[in-house]
Amino acid sequence: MNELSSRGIALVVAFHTIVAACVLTIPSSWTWLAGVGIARGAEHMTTGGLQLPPVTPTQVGIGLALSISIWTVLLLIVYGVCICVADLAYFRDRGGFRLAARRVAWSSVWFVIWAVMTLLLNLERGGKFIQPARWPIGETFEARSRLLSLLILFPILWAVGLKPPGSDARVSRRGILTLSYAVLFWILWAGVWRGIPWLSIEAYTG
Amino acid sequence: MKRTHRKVEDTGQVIDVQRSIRWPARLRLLLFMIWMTFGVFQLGTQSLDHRLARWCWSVSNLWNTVAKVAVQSGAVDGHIDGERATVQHASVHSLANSRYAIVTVSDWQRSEISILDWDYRVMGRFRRRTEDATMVKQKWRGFQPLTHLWPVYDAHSAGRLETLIGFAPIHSAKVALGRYAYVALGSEQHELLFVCDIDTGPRIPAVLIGIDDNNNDRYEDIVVQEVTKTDKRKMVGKKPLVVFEWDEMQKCFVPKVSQETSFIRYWCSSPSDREYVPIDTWIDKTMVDRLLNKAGTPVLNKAGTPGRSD
Repeated sequence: MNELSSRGIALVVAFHTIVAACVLTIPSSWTWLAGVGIARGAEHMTTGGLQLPPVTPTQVGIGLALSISIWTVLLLIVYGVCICVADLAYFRDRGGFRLAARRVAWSSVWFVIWAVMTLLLNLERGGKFIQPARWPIGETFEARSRLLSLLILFPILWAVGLKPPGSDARVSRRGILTLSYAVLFWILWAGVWRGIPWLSIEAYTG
Repeated sequence: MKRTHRKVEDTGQVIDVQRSIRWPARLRLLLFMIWMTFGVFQLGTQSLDHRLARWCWSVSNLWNTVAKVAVQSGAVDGHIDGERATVQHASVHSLANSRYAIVTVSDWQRSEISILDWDYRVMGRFRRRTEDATMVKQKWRGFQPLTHLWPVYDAHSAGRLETLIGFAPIHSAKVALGRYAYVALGSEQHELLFVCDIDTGPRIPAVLIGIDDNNNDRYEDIVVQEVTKTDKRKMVGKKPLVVFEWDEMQKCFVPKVSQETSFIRYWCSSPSDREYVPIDTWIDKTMVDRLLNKAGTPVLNKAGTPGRSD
């Protein structure tokens, strides 16, 4: 990873983020509606609970695109907050900052692992893991709950193993250092979290 | 920790390097403060959220977000008698190039139904309750909160919205069965214009209750018609059995009975018998029963003999 160019790093992050966003969209009602539309026709594309009129294929297409885009943006914000933390932590150590930033890119593989985990948990929660015919619609975790689970673990996973800023810090302090970076991440995220339009995001992520 | 370096540029100009380091630090602090202030006070977040949620009006599987926006914006109270409602449900309807949402907040046995325009202004609201669990439980589709049956609109150009409320257990078929009330919604009190109890039997197996201008006087009437099923199991209405025509002078429905009426008992308001209900009163089956009993219409059973009881 350290040998990768900036462009290569951007590609790695983009790849992980988009794959994770696509996996996160699988349990959305958009995917289910698209499946119903393909299997049974556009006139059956309704979640049906309240005798709703069907949605159109265009709306389902837009919904799928919105869901993937929203997850991509949310994950890029997670990435951006990590960069901000690295920037603050390695303010006077640009070499350290570059290493921390590259490590964020490397850690973005956790986006994919986490997305797959939430998909499996979601299926297990609805008792559908062993009944694929019933998934994915139903008792999905809301976008907020899913993202929260990532936000708790991701900064710790990222910060583990980062070198202390400057060269005089002892290795034994790394645990505290990791926690400090995670706390800084959570503080910055608190600012982002309350500024996110959750109602629409949860609607459009399906 | 201060670091002061003086550097001589190629041009011979001396610059203070310390300043070039400290300014970004201040800038970072400033950005951090703006960031956290924005987060703590949620500046513009709700407004942005409500703007982004506009598309939900157009997509049926996102209608419930309209209810959430209505509650979040304060247009609709998300509580029933001080307790947080478990259900926030909405449906969107169109009328004369404008759209309105019917938002229901409910704890299943009690519902508060609000009619909102595109700008989340409340055009009318009413409250319903039931103690009958079958009223909110549908065999195939699960639970549905108590709400209205017809799209709400100003059917008689009286400046107030009108709708039909059903008190029958939910079933998939659209046939009418059980008690119904036709209500005109006011800002402070509602008026019950018509209530009925339909009990079909072997002679008339199924009827539909609908609204239509039966006598071409440009005012909507309530029409009860017998229905049959086609080969494709579609409901087809036959000629009306009973019509409740709107009398614009007296502002009430007048029954026009043309055929067999043993399947229905009803009460219509009249100039001497108006039924007003304060806006916060729960509209329930007891209220309908009281009016039906007041009407004194004969209580007939499926065989057409007196004495049916509920």
